[in-house]
Formats: sequence, C-alpha cells, structure tokens
Amino acid sequence: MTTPPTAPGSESTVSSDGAGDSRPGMIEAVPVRHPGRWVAIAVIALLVAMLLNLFLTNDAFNWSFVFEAMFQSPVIEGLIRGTLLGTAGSMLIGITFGIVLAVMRLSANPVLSGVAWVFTWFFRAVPRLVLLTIMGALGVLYPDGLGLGLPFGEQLMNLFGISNDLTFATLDANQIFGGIIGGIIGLGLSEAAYMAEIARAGILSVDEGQNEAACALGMSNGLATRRVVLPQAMRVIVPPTGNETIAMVKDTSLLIGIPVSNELFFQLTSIGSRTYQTFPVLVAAVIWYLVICSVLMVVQSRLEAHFGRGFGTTPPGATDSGFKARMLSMVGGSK
Amino acid sequence: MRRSKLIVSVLAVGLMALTGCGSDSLDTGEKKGGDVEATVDEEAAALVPQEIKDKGTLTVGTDASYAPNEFLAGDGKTIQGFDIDLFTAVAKKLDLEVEFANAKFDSIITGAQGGKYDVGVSSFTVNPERMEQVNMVSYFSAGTQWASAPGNPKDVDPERPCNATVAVQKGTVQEEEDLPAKIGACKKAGTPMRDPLVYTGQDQATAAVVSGKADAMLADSPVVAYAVEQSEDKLEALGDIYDAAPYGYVVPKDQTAMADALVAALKSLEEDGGYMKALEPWGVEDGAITDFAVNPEL
Repeated sequence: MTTPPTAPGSESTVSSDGAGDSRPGMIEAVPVRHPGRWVAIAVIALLVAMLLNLFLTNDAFNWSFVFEAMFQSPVIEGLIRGTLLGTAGSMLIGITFGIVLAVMRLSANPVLSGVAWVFTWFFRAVPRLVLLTIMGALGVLYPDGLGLGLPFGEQLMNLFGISNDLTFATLDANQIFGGIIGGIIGLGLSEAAYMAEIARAGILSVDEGQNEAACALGMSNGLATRRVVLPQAMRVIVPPTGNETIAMVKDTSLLIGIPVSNELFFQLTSIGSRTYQTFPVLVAAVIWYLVICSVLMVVQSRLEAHFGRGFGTTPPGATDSGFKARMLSMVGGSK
Repeated sequence: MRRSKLIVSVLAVGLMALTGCGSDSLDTGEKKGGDVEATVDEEAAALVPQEIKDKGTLTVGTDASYAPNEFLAGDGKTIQGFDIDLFTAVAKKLDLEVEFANAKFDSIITGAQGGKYDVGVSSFTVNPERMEQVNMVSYFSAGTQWASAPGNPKDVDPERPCNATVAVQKGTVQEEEDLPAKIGACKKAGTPMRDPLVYTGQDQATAAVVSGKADAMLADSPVVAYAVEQSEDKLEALGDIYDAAPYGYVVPKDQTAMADALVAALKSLEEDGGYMKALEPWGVEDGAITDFAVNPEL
C-alpha cells in the first residue's frame, strides 16, 4: 500500500485527490507546538543565570564568611538550644493543648466550649512578638515570686485565723517567664489556639457514623474518641500541623521579644554587628532556616504517607505526571 | 516505620556532630578588662537594705549592644565592658554578687520599677524625666558624638543633619531629645529630614552606617570612639562632643538606701584606685568623675 504524499504542515490528510475512492492516508500527527513554553523557559534560564552571577560575583555575599559564621559555636548552640528546642517544646505544648481545646470546643458542655472559644479568640488575636514581650514582663505581676499551693490559700487560712498561706514552694517569676521557658510557654499557648482549630477541623471531618458505630460496639465516648475518631482525624490534622511546625521554626526568631538571646538569628546578627559583616550573616541565617525546614518537610511527607494509608493517595513519582515525564512530553519524546 | 527510624537516627547523629564541631574562629574579641580587685567596705555595705543582703545577689538589667560600655563577648553569652567591670567592683565593695541579664534598653527602667532587676546598669544618661521615675546614681560622664563613613561623603552637618539618613538607638537621649529637636529645626527651615533609622541595639545602628544604609549616626561619646577604633577605617568621628551629662545607675524609687550604698561604694572605690582601673582597659578614662551622687543636680 502506498501513501500519497501530503503537503508539509497540514494537520492531517483525508485524501490526495478529489476522487474520493481511495482510503484516507495515514495520519501524520504533529504534536501541538508550545512556543510560549520555550520562551518562558528561556526567560527563566536568563533570570537564573543573572541570579547565579549575582551570587558568585557580588563581593557583598562574602561566601567564605557566610559558612564560617554558620558554624560558630554560639550560633550552633543558639540553633540547638533556642531554635530547635524552642520549636520542639512549643509544638509539644501547642499540639497537646490544641487537641484538648478542640475536644473542649466540640463538647456539649457550654462552659467548656465557651472557655475554649475565649482562649482561641485571645491567643489568635495577639501577635506573637507582642505576646512574647508581655511574657518577658510578666514577672512584674509576681514581685514576691510565684507561689505554688492552694488557690486563695492565704484568704482561706485568714478565715480560720491561721497565718499559714498554704504555699509549699515559691518560684522566682522572673526566672520562669524570663528565659527560654517563658518563650516556649508563650509560643506554645499561641500555637495551641491554632492547633485547636486544626484539630477541630480534623475531628469534624470524621463521619458521625464512625462515632455512632463505636458507641454501638459499647465503647464509651472517650474511648471512641481515642480509638476511632482521632486516628482518622490525624489524616486531616497532620499536613497543617507540619505547616505549623515549619512556621514555628521561623517564629523562634521572635524569642528576642522575651528577650532570649541564645537563639540562631540573634547570635548571627550579633556576629554581624561585631564584625561589621551584616549581610553575610543574614545569608547564613537564611541557609540555616532552609536546611531545618527542608528536613522537616521530608519528615512531614513521611508522616502524611503513614496517616493517609488507604485513602487512595499515591506517593509522588508513582504516576507518569512527574517532572521528567512532563519535560519529555514537551519535546514530543514521551512514549 | 524502619525508614522513619532511620531519619530520626540520622537527625540525632547530625545534631551530635553539630554540637561537637562549632568553631570559635570569629571569637576575635580578646577580653580587655576583667575583674577589678576590690575589698569589702564595711561602712558602705552596712547601708545595703536587709532584704538585698539576704539575697546576696543583685540582678542587673543591661543592654549588651553598647560597646565598650556593655556588650557581648565572642562566645555570644558573656556580657563585658567598663560598665560591667565597674559595677562588679562596686558590688564587691558592698559584699554582693552580681548577675547581669541582657535586656532591651527601653525595657530596663520599667523592669527595675517592676522588680525584675534590682539595678539597671546600661549607660543611662541622667535626665529629669528618668529621675522622676527612678533614683539615679551618677558614676561617669559622657557626651554625644556623631560619626559617618570616612570623609563624610554625604556632607552631614551634626548641627543641621537635614540632608542625611541618621541611625540611632531606640530609647537613648539622642533618639528621644537630641534628634527630635534637630528634626524640628529642619522642618521649620523648610527642608524636612528623612525619618531616622531607629534600632533596638546600638550595634545595629553602627552596622547601618558601615554598610551605607545610613549616612551618619549619633551616640554616646565613648561608644562612638570605640566603634571608630574597632571598625578599622570604616567609620569616622564627626564634629565635637557636646551635651556632656552623667551616666547613672538605675535604682527603684523606693530603694533610696540602696542608692546611698552605691554612692558610698563608688567613693570607696575611687579612693583606692579601683575606679580608674575599671575604666582604663576600655579607654574611657576621660569620662571619669568624682562627684558621685543620688539624683545629681544637672
């Protein structure tokens, strides 16, 4: 069988002549052309080249100083004891307290849900820098130290004419609210307000029937929440929680409001001020935050894969829609 | 789950490696000052209120961004400077220990009023507004000095800085009194000045001039002198020192006895030479005074 020649560029050929008796020829498909995409790639390549050129040739970056500053011992100590410990501590408080608040908020008891609402309202409305500055100054309220004992113990004992005030330990309020502990409490409480909303959304995403079925099996409300509802809610809770953790890493730079100076950003900027190399230390801070957040993103995707089991989400790369496949399709080489 | 265990252990090992490998190559600041010898002055120590004697330690609020008066050593933790050396010696005279707490400058006076700090030692210029809120014990004298990049490329005139972007630390006399007057004068003359760059730390203000972000800065004279010396030709002093005024220790209003004890300790320290010994290593002996007083006449 011979194929009649076709004019180049025509989309398809139906017949070679007007006779109409021959069968249509083979389709000579030409892939849809995307000249705009190639222009976009060229523009982006140019911009990337300009950026690399800036990074490599501008002396203000002073790369050797950037890496030297990144690994100074005060910076490393600030990274671990301020930034990482601060993030871990405040997320621990935030997640635990946030879940409690979410359960309270969904409770049938109007007092409990009201309290949870007021807490969320307050801590969502106060900016973190402002909150931390207030935390640092809280010692003003307890000039005689923070007593641990029965509430209103002093008043109670006065009633009975006894001079004991039922306080069995007194802590220095400035010690508690002053340092990293105050920072962790402040950031943790603020985080709890956000986590409460995230956990609430997660709990609401679990079908009511799950709870009913658990109750039908004879589970108590608490047991059903722990064994049936929360594990399923995790699928919805985990991704935004990862987001919040990454945001928290960045927010530890606000600890200076307390003020806590044993923290990554403060230590790097103070090296900058001491050596008059202000810009390279900022680059060093950016690199550190990028490294920490990249590691956290990997952890987050693993957690998501774990809690999302059985919901039809395929791991990235399993389908043909990956970066490589899409690039190949642009040059028409995808088979 | 094996995979996530692997990640956790890699993280743990990484952290351990990091804690081990911190470098100190940028810890250039060799410690200049140090402990000044001082013996307990029984007469002065007797003035210390009983409650502070019982505590034995003074908690002192200081903003460690003001080299050479008070600033962080290369380890990022230790606070050093002539204020630190001098006040440590003063406390020794009173048989007290000192614990310096790093704080933002504009939070120290409120912190002292609220009992967060027993004393504020942070190059506070004595002025009537501050004396209304707290007791101030004078111990040093400093003026205001301007600085710019070498050769003053923007032709900044400290008297009339109308054409300049000026860097200054928040809460200082320069920011609260000196600059507003000059900004007002510029506005009156019809050449309004750009808003000054107000930083929480003096080190940031100095760095802003060095990097060219600001055209000039103004701060206390010993601070500017030290910055010019340390920056190695990146800064130059501009004009003369003016508005000389005493520095004062900040003591809460209800602690007048403590303020008197500090004056007695300073006098005793001046007599046995410890006062000058605290100042000399930092090159600030020009600001030495002898008429220490609670709430001095200005």
